[in-house]
Amino acid sequence: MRKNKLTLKSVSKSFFGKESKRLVLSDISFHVNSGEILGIIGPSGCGKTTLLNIIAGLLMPDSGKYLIDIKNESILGHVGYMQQKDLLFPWLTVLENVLLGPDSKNINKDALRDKSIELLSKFGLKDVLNEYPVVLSGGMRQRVAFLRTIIGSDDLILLDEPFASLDALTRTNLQDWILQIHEILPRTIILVTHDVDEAIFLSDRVLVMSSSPSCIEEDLIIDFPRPRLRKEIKSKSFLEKKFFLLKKLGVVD
Amino acid sequence: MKTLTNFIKKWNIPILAFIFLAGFWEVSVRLLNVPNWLLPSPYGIMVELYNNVVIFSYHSFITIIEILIGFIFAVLWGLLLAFSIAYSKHVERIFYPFIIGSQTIPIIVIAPILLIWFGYGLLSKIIVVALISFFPIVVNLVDGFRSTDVDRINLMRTLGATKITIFRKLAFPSALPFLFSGLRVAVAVSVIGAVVAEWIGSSSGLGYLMIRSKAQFLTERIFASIVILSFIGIFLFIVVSLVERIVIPWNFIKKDGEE
Repeated sequence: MRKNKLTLKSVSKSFFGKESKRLVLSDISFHVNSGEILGIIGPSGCGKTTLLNIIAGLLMPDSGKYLIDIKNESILGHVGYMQQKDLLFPWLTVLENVLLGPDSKNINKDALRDKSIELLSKFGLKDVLNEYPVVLSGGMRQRVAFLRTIIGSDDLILLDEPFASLDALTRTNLQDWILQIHEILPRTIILVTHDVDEAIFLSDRVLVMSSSPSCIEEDLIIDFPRPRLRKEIKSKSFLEKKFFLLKKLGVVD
Repeated sequence: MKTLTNFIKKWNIPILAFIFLAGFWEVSVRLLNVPNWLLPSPYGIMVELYNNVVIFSYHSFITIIEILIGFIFAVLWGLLLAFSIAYSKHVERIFYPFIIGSQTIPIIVIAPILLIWFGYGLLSKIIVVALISFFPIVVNLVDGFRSTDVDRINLMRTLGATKITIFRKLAFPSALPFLFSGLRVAVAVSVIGAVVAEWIGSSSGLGYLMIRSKAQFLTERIFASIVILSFIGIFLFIVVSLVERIVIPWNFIKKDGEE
């Protein structure tokens, strides 16, 4: 039986304008198991990023319970968060960017350094280890950002539309790549995306958020075997799931 | 050899424009028989420089010393102020209005007071140079700190960085291009500061030499001083730019294509 990594119970969050109060998350409850990939989809502006900011420890929820299984007291520094932009530091080399987490926490980074070099080499970034990020392509930058997230965190990783800015082909490659990494380094991943195909293809479960003020409308189990194969997306079961989720999102009737 | 070719390629248009202008000036002055005391020719200015190289060297040396020491003080003082402003909102509230206000008073009216307080020697000149050139350094660096990317700050927080680490690893490096913009402006105005201070009262330096030459209608000498001053300014500007390339090489990669 898998362990519960993260549990949210009735989490709510409002933002205050000059005169108005806007309720973004009304009642969010769900859990993630250890080692699972959880996809979250929802309409634009439904508060997906707000939700990730809360889980990452950048924002405090107004109310609700929030349980996370980490040894340390503080969430900051332990939950990895990859935002939509790669946010690589232009003055650091590729390797230094990947090591930004351990470097900022002043922990011994020799072991992590070797591991980073090994990972970077394994995934075709060996030649650019000591280059500045400006020379990298969009897909390479996203890989470096993902490795930085993995190296800089313990187990739980949040991905906020990590491939939104990439072209379709690069995105497909990176999806396969993420699955490969997940095989080698099992992490608990929460993936927010606009792309229903991506959510189904990568995840063990897909949550559907309603529009703001939002709650979880659906919790769909994706039971395709791992390692996942590309051809799965043509299967009947995949299309049925996709159709079901699109219906939940209100895209099709 | 390759660097020379590159240099010529990059600078051929400004060099040609310069040569053309100087030639036009030279020919016009000769054809129109303009008297020397009114407008000397470029050639005349060169001859003046050559004949009085000892005088010019001495006064240039004094001015350069004033500029360098004043500029170094401006950089130290500017960095200290900018760091304090970035570190504490209170420091910002107290000092920032004064810093802005200090620049609304023209340096030319402050200089006589400094002269009364600190005498005719180097010290008053150094203070004027420092006062005029610390401003662009502080303002640019503070702007640099303020424009630190919020998403990157959040990234550092999720990686467990403290406020000081965020400053050291993120805010400071990302503000460096701003600092260098400030330094470039600062070297340019530091030359102005030194000359103005010498005008108000001194017994040496290029500003002093110009005032004295004006009284004697040695127009060639005034022009020669101007040429030296502009060379000092350009030289310092180039030095700052070179230091910038060494300190923040990552900021140049894209612009040069490869390097």
